[in-house]
Amino acid sequence: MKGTHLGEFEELVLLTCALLINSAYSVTIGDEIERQTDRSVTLSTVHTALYRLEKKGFVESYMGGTTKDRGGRRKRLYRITAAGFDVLNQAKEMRNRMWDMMPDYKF
Amino acid sequence: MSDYKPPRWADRFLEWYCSKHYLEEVQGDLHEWHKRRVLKSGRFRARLMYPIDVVAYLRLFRVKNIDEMEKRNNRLFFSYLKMAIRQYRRNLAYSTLNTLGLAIGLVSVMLISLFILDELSFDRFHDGHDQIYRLVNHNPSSGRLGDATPSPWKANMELAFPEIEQHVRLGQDNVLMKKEGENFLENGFYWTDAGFTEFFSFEVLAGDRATMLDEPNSIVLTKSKALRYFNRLDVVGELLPLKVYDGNKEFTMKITGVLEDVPRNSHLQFDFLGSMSTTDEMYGRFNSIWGLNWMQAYVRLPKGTDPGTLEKKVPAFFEKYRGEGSSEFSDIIFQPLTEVRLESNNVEGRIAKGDKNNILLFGFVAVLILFAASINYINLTTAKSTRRGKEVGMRKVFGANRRHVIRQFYVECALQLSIAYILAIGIVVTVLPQFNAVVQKEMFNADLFRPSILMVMAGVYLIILLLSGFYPAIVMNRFRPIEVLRNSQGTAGVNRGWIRRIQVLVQFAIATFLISCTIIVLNQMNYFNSHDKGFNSDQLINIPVDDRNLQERLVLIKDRMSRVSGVTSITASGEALPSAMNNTWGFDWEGKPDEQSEGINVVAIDYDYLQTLETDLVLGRNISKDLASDSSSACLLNESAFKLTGWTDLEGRKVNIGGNALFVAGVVEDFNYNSLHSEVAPAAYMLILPGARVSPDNLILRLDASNISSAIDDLDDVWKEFSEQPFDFSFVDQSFAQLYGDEKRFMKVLVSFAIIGVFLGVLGLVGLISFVAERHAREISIRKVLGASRGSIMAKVGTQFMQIFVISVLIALPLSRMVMSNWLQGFAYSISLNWQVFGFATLVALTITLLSIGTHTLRIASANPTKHLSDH
Repeated sequence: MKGTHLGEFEELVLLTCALLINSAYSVTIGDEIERQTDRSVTLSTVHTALYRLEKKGFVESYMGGTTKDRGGRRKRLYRITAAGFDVLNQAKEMRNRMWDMMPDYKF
Repeated sequence: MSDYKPPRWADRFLEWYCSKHYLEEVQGDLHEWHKRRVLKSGRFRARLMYPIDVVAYLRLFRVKNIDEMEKRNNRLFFSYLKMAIRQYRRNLAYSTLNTLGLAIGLVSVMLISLFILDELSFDRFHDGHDQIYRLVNHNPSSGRLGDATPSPWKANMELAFPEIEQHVRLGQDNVLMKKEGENFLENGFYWTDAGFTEFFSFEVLAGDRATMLDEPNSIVLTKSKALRYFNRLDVVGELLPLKVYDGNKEFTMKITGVLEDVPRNSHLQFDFLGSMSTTDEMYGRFNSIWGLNWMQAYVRLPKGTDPGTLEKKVPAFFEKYRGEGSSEFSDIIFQPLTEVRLESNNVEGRIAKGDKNNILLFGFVAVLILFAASINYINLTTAKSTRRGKEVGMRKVFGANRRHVIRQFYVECALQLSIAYILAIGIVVTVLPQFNAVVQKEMFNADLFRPSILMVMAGVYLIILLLSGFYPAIVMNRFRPIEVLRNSQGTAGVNRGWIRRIQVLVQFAIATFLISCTIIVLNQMNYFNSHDKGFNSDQLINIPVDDRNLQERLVLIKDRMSRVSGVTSITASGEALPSAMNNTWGFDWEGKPDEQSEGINVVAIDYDYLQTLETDLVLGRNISKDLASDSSSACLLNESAFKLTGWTDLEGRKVNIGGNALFVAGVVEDFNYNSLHSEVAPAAYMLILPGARVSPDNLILRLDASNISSAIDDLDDVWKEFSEQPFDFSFVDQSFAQLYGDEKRFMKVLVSFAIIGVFLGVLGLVGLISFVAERHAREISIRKVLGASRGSIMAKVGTQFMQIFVISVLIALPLSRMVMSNWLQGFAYSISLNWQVFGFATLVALTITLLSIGTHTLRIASANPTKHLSDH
């Protein structure tokens, strides 16, 4: 199912989005990812991932209120949908399943 | 806070491309991200990164769509376009006329540009064409230049000029091709050195380019000749028997290569190439004869070599290899290959030449036509738009600003211009085949889209657009709407009198210039036809006898032919009529200064030569059968040779021509063997027995006008008794006319374009007059009410134009005199530019002007004044 496939970066964005309740938008998500993963992200990449997730129905967006910080510009906030939560869960379960089957490695 | 501001220009770029659906969030996010980065890694780094982020956001789905762009920049664009189309339709006849006028001008300019580009493209298709030079044979003492060079040059130049990379020669020969029992005379046959096909870049269809002309008895032929003789192209290895006339030798040649037909824009035109090594036995003895010029020669120099350094070594070369003192009458000029076509006017030779003067004149006419057409177009467009002041006023009242008005008018102008351009390209595409046929060229529509032409056309488009839109869009736009609206005429009252006057002046001057050029060109053309060649060419036919065997029986053939009914007289000659005259011998006479070296053309004649040609003796007597000594030791000189000697009488005058001591029996009137481009060269006429290179090889007959065709049939029968060759003959007057074929064709084209130019000029004048009439309608009406007569009003309008007319004539005539006298210098015999020519030109220009403006002036002057005054 191509339409609902979750890329690695998308999963990361979706996870972050779920963590940041009521304040998830590109800047905070990007910020959080940088902090969590210690890798640098480009804002437009985050944004594009969000658009894609929205198209797949995993997040939904709404316009937030204005803040002084942005010169009075409103921001587009994102929150995770039930489908989004499901797909995160599926991904997690799949990993768990696979981890359970993992043989004992000694390196 | 300002520390956190991202670079403004990058922000602007974002605002420019980003659709408003995304702009707010994206810009907000970017600003926040920027601030975060400033805090993290410093202001400098952040400002450096910001533009990269902006560009990273550039995705197709975020870019403004067309609708949005229109809304922001030019929401009214489609409305303007609609208005423009409506305007065009409303004044359909007027707009069409205007557009058509411009289109005709553009068509002329495009065709002329194609013609000029084609002329300039000559010989440029060869690889390394800038390293190739043609060797021009120059005689410093007589000043004569020729493309024919002698055999010894190549071997000796290889010793003296080690810098020459390659040296190839081409020697033309008339051959008889034998195929399946039939014989075909081929004139496009050349002997050439091995390596010719590598030297030049003619396209090879079959055979090995590098070696195809190495072996003796090799022949290379063009595609169309291969198809003609074999009806297929894979003919390499086939045998082709041929007979050479001049050497009276037969060869069986083996085909070693097939070339694509020679492009039209090559000055070298040939059908067959034979390997030079074949001719060793036949022409090998020429290798030591420095005075026998028969081959065209080309050399390739290393890149960047200045031919001047080689030319400096030429005198020493001749002194060393040809003999002491020979540099006084022998010289070599290295002529760049790319100049051969257009800068060989003074070089004698058989190749077709272009003429730089013609190209210049043509280009000049093109520029003038473009000028006239553009001025017309700008004028007519402007004139029409001055009546739209009211519309501009209304638009402004309804909230249009100046920018809107400018845009509207420019869209309108651009639409009209585009229609004219599309029309012009359409016309060019359809008429190009015909134009090709007329000028005998192969130009393609695709050439129109060469960058050089496109750039000029685009430039012209922009200039016309800017100028034609200037008045309505900028000038009228400045008026306050209330004033324009109050003025019931709906015109914006502005006095641009001096600009109009200058435009009329330019228009008049162009028309007069073109008329005067046309008259001069036509006169020169006329002069060609009526010029006294020095002999009577009516019903004169020329039969070439190229076969040596036949030449020995020429007396017999002549006798048999003279008995054919319808033949009035017959003679034999060593030169055809017309002829390029390339048999030059050394010329000495009693009392000639020692240091002077002169050559003279030798023409073998018969006793009845002068009588047949109906040419006159100026001095002395003809060669006579009755005087035994005449047959071996008498000669006739032409006037130009006689002038060279400086004699005034013929009492016992002796000359030495090519080592033969002869006495001069008489002096013949100068007559042209060739076109009027070249002067009559010194010539000597004498009796020469068959067997020599200059022996008689032509029969010249005068026929009775009443039964020419039956006479020719009978002559054909006589010919067949003697020869297996096809009977070949030409009418002398037609052959002479053909010498001017190119010239005449060119002149016809030039004259037609000049007429187009004049037509456009007149069109412009009519437009201007009607405009002036409209503008002054009220003034004239008031004058009439106050008692002015029709005559006085016509005089008033008329004098205004007459003044301009006089000034423009004063500008145009000297200019045309300058240009045309330059052009006429290309002819050895040309008409003189006297005041009658210019007087006539003025008269024609005046008549055309009066016809075009007179009716209009009359109409204004006779209009009922109430018509224009009743509005008030």
